[in-house]
Amino acid sequence: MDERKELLEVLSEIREDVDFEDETELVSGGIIDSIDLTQIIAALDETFDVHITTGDIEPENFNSVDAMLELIHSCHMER
Amino acid sequence: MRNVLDWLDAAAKEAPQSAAFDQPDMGITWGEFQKRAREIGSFIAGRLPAQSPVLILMEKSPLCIAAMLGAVYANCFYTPVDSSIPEARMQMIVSVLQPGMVLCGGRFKETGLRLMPENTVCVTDDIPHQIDMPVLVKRSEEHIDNDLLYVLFTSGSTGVPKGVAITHRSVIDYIEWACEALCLPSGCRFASQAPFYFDNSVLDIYATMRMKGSLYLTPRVDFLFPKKLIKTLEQEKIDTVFWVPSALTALANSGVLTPGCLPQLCRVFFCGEVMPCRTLNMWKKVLPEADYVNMYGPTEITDVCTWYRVDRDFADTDNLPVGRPCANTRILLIDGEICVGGTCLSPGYYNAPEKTAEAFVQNPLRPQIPEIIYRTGDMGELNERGELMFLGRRDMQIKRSGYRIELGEVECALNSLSGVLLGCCYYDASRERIVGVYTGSADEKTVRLEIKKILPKYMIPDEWHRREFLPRTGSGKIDRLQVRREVEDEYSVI
Repeated sequence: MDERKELLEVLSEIREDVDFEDETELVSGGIIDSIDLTQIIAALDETFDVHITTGDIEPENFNSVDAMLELIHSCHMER
Repeated sequence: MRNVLDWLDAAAKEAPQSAAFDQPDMGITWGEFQKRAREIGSFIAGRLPAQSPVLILMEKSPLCIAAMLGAVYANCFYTPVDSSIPEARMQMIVSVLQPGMVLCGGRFKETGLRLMPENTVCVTDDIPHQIDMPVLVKRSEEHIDNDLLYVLFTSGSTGVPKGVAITHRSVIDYIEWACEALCLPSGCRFASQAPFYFDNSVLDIYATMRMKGSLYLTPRVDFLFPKKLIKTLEQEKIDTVFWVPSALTALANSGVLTPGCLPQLCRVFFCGEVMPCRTLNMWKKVLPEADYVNMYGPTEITDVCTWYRVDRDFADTDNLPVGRPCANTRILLIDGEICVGGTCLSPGYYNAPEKTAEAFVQNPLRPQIPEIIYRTGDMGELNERGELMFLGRRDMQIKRSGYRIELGEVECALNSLSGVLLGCCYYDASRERIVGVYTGSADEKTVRLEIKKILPKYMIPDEWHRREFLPRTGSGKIDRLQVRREVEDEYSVI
């Protein structure tokens, strides 16, 4: 399964009511809240082996699926 | 002085062009703010008699504060509600408060219409730009300082929210004390964390007004992104924060506090929960010159009744004092319970005489004359320096194997451990077990071993649960009831 599809699946498990495919203002538009975000961060760790701490992240990293994919890639690159 | 509007009128007169309330996409000066509040006040005064409840259902914004103060210009009182709570709960608030009007943000109009009759639902943006000065003057002349300023709803243990009513004179008493005791300079710049339905916001709003300063309405989402939050505080040149300890702890734990950051920030105040000394020490390390003040108080006594200015060093495992009474406030310890007397007292819970009579009682030490004190339900004791120490909720005090245990003390120890970000505990009376729940990198075994070095054996929780996050209440505190529900849900399945 490609990463994008996998990520979408993970995200829809956290918030089944959100259209993650097209939404580009998940954080800045107030669509996901702090609890969602914590779960997303934990899921990224579990599914993609991406360990991020809240000190490192910016709201822009979570505004869309593509932004999150980019974050995953940059974390993989650093390793 | 008998009306909080005197501060607003002075700010608008003396600093009309200065920024009053700011947020990323919008700012408003004191002159503009007063004008809008008077317009809203004129609109309300044309429809409601004085001292009517006005419900505010708006996003946190400068306009929301203008709506609150607009109600005050009409000599009505305001109740901001959390727009994210279930409508059933809003309905409970409406049935207790019986508001004469609800002022809505555009996106909450539909909610407003489901709660209240159509002719009482107003969209704040649509209120005309007209001031009826003679009506406002009349409302002001009729006003007395015992009139209500706001009613804030807190969760009642029975499930029905209680509306704490607060008068002008309590807020005047509080803010005059705070500006002097906390050494707030004219033109100070606050960054707000507290939502307006939580009474820590009373200091944010009225101290800013009193000092002709400004209040930056930090977007809620910034608190999820510590790096961005630091950048914002620096860009906005924030010099004062009054936040719940959880927010300060989250920032410290995220690792974004580095030497040289936040050069303007010189006043760090906190209230609303126990401040872990470990958090305080992390802040002191980075901002050693800042003024740190720990405050304590329930909504019923107008936000704060005791204060402690940090004047010495504490170990991570110490319990920080809540200090001494504010001026014009009396603290009594009756069977260990913290009781409060003074001008700060709420006259009671709105439309709930029985609940009022339970908590606002005759001072048993002064039977000769009617004197009401408020029983906080919090336990306290004086330390050897005469400073008040908060020991926890009366209902957080438990007895096990003959030992009296304050769960607050167990939490204090838990929060001092290095691998623990945030922790809390509860007592499961049916199984006679203390349950510890926390977030952080430390595994359960490490926590058990480390806490043994701090606490006597009888206080050690019997079971531990590490979580990805802890649920918070609307005001940002740990939601202990929800923590317990989640743990129990998880284990009842197995």
